[in-house]
Amino acid sequence: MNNTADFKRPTRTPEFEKRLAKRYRAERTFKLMGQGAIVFSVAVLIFLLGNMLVNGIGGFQRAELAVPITFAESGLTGDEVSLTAPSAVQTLEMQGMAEVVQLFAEKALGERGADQLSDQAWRDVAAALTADPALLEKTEPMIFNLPASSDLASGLAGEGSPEMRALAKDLVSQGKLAENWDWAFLSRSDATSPQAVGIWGALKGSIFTMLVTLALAFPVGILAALYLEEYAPKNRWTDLIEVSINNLAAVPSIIFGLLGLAVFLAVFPNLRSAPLIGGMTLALMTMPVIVISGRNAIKAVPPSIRDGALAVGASPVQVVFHHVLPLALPGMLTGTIIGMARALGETAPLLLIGMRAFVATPPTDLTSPATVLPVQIFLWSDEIDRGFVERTSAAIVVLLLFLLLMNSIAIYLRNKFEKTW
Amino acid sequence: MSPITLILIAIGLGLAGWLAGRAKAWSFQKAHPQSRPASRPIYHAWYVAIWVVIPVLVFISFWSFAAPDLITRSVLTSMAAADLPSFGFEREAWLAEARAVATGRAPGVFNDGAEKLVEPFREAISFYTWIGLAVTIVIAVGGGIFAFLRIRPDFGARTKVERTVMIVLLLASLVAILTTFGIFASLVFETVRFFGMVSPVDFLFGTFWAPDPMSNPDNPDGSRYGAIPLFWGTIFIGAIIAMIVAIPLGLMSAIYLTQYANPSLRTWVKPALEILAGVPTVVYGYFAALTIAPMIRDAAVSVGVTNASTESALAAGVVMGVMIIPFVSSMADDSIAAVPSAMRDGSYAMGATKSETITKVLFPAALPGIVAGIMLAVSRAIGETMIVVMAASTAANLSANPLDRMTTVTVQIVKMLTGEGSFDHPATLSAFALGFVLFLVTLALNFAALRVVKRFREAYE
Amino acid sequence: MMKARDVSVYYGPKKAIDEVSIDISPDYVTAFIGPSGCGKSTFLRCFNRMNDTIPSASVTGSIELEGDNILGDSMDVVQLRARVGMVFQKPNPFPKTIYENIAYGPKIHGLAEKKPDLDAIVERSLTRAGLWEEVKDRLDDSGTALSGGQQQRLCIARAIAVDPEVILMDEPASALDPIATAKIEELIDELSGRYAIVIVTHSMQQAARVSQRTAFFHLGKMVEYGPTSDIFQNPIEERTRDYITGRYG
Repeated sequence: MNNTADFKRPTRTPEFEKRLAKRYRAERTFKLMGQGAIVFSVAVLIFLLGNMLVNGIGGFQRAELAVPITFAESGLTGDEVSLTAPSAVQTLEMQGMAEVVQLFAEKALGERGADQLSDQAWRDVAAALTADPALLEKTEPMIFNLPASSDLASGLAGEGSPEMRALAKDLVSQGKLAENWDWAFLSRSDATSPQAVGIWGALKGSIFTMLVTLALAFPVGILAALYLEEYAPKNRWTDLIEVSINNLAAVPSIIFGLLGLAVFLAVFPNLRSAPLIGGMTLALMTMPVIVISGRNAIKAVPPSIRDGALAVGASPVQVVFHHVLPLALPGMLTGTIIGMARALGETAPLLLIGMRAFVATPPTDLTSPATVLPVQIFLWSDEIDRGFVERTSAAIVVLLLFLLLMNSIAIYLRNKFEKTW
Repeated sequence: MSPITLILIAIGLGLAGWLAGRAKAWSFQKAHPQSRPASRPIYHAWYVAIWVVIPVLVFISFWSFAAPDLITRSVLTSMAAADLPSFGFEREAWLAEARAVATGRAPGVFNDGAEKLVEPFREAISFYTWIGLAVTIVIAVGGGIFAFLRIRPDFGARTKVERTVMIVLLLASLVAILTTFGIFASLVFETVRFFGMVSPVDFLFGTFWAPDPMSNPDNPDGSRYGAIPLFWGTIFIGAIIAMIVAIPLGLMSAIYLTQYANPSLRTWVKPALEILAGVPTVVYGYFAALTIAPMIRDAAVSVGVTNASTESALAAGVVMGVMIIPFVSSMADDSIAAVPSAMRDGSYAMGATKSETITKVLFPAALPGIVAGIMLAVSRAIGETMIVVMAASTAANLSANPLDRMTTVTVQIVKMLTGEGSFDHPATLSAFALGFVLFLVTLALNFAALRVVKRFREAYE
Repeated sequence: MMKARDVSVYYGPKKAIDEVSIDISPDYVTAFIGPSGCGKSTFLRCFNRMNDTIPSASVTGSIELEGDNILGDSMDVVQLRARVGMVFQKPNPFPKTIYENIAYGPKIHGLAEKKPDLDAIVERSLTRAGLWEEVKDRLDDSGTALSGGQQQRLCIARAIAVDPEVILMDEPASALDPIATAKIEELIDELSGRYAIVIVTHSMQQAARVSQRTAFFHLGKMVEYGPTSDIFQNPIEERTRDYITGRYG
């Protein structure tokens, strides 16, 4: 037996202790770096969201001038029938509604103030009349908050020319100009002035496009996932399909735009900005994501389920459709919702296939020209007028809320239906 | 009558056939309650339904191409078409307007000449709508009757139905191959056309990029199509600046979250990182252009750099890096978690501190997976479009100064395809050539990453 | 060299080890035996505080290493683990070269900075572990490329490279074939005077061959402790006798 006295005991020397202290300092620094990384990432996220929110609040408001209108003295004529017909607005226009409103504005705001009334403001009054023709009889003045011109709006915000800023200050002190909540932002469509824009046109376009994408990508994705997981024989063709799907999932989205341009628009040349084409392009992009998440959901179903079904004599098709599919469906839905959320935020491929038109009215069906919300944001970001900054941020807030909603539903589904076998 | 209406009619008829088939099969069961039929009634029902709907769907897809053509042809033979200009833009405009009015899309025409064509359009549309409807019904009923007659007690409807189901599944899977092939073919086709106008050598090795979409397409100036500045800009912004931001932050976040953080911190931070990944790139682009780029320029000016651009590569690269952090973090997370815990225990038992275990044992062991993750992140970054379109420049510039303006492949693809040029102009086609290069590079990166991960996984089996 | 007094280990509210006391010395090899789940590995892990890596585990009582209480705050766990080494059941060489595996400990503890010193330590450790002749020409090969038995001897060499005072072995041969097992047992014999060795084993024959003192554990309690020959030939407790004679285990 060796003598324990000839140990060197290197780990109990003072040099060791000193080195130990250095090592612990390095450990603390390392841990701090990790914390720093996380703090930075979260801070940027908060900064980004906060920035959008702060700017976006202003986007839900707009500068409006208060104009009292006494309809009985307006000289406008019409009754229940004529004011509820489809051509009512044109009729009012031909009666000189715009000038009437301008006159009332001049009375209330003075000539300079009335000059800064938005030239489409009379349409708001017309809308009120066509909604309630009885207003035409009113002898008391009704106060309408009508949109100001974008120049005056800039003046109210403290930018623009000195005259505008002075005028705005003046009108505010008289109580005739104010920054009001503009919820109609959510129901109007694109326009040239930031005072008049709304996101409904783009939102409806997004909804139509999403519907097409879902209708195409979901069935194809789920059926392909079922085939690859349950039935496909192990041969070169199956490998090729698998490799294709995995590659497609990683292809940059702009390439799908090139595909849409070269193929879909060649086949349907007159549907350039249609949600149908946009939806088809995004469906190609979303389908691999649904296949992959579908396969994972199917893989999670234990083989014992399949064995049990086969043992009672179910055919392979029955095993899958009666037993596996129902159990895998929640996972598939989660993956689909996440894929659709990604598609909702996509911009580049839709730019290439032309969904960047100036769309002043919401699309009526899947083949009318439309745009989508992210593209609308992109188009507005290019505008010079500062008023568009707030509108763009507001549109971003709406987009983010939709994405939050979709992802929350997906997470809720995942948590509710997550079974541990 | 839109194709959708026809499809709905087909589905309705399919439902009728379904019920009829089931009824007939039930009657067999009632007549011979002892013997077991070859298939349950429901499969007979589906058999009939399939024979009704599928032939109709085939017809409808063919009809939606053929019908507009037939309608236009019929209008052109009518008398009113005699006044139509014989070719060109005006001709197409008149026809389009008349068609729009006839289908009720537009209230009136701009060109009076088109007015006369409205009535022939209305007639032709009505005529062919009825023909479409009639053929649909004939096919549907014909198919249904054919199937109905084949129903017998010993008919193997289930096998036939299941075989159809399998074919449908296989077709769905083939869509993926078709899409890949479509991408490849369309890119190759247009790229070849482009290389017919501009030599590949000029394109791949030229250093001056300034295509003029308004120039004469028959005589393109190949020296203006040098794509090197684009490749460089893409690499500089996406593979260098973005990675300088994303790799350290992503790795250290993953390490902290997996090795140091307590569970409650993890439950808050992981979703936050996922949110970073879920923010649409157009929002990042706007943030970069509106807030970050001016910040960087002001910072540069304050330290004396006077020619910093507001469209600097740094602004786009930094924001892109932030967007990529979650990708790097999650790949690193998975790779480190895949290292067997025996290795971690072995290092701790030797008396290593946590940071020593991580840097000297876990990180080297997880390195292949982390490298693969970085390659995938680079692939994502160079394919990114909106951040660079909104925050970077369209000016091709071969510079190593991050405060300079630079452009990328994706920016130029968008620019070339959203300009006023015609589709056959080399400037427009150059976008496809650029797309092809991008496609090949991202494909190569993904393949390489996959192989690295495969070998890495085998090492731990 | 090490004294454990009234040591208890809790996993959350559940008591896994109940007030165990024992002395460890380099003069004899100590074996922990007992049926699976009796806590012998858990108790072993107290001696180098590896239970610290399990969040729900808590240890009470006292364990002293040459007079220092290792469970107190004043004992640095990094230093402790350099003085008390461990060899695991399944060999776990790092995915590095053989040389780097051995050099890992000395490098991080700063025991040798210059290459000649490291070379000496590597050679000495591999020799003491009985592996030098087999790998001296291929020190740059990966540690994971060795056979199971060689990997385990590599792990033993790695543990002794930092000159520990105690070596804990948790079923070191249970994943190995009989020939490799025999080599490991031979090695334990050679190492036993230099280092205090504690070995957990589920094989009574191995305990009988390799150790001079044996502790029998059952359901978290140390039921009996004494010279190995006594435990195996004249066990006092009935439970010990039942286990030895194979009535359960």
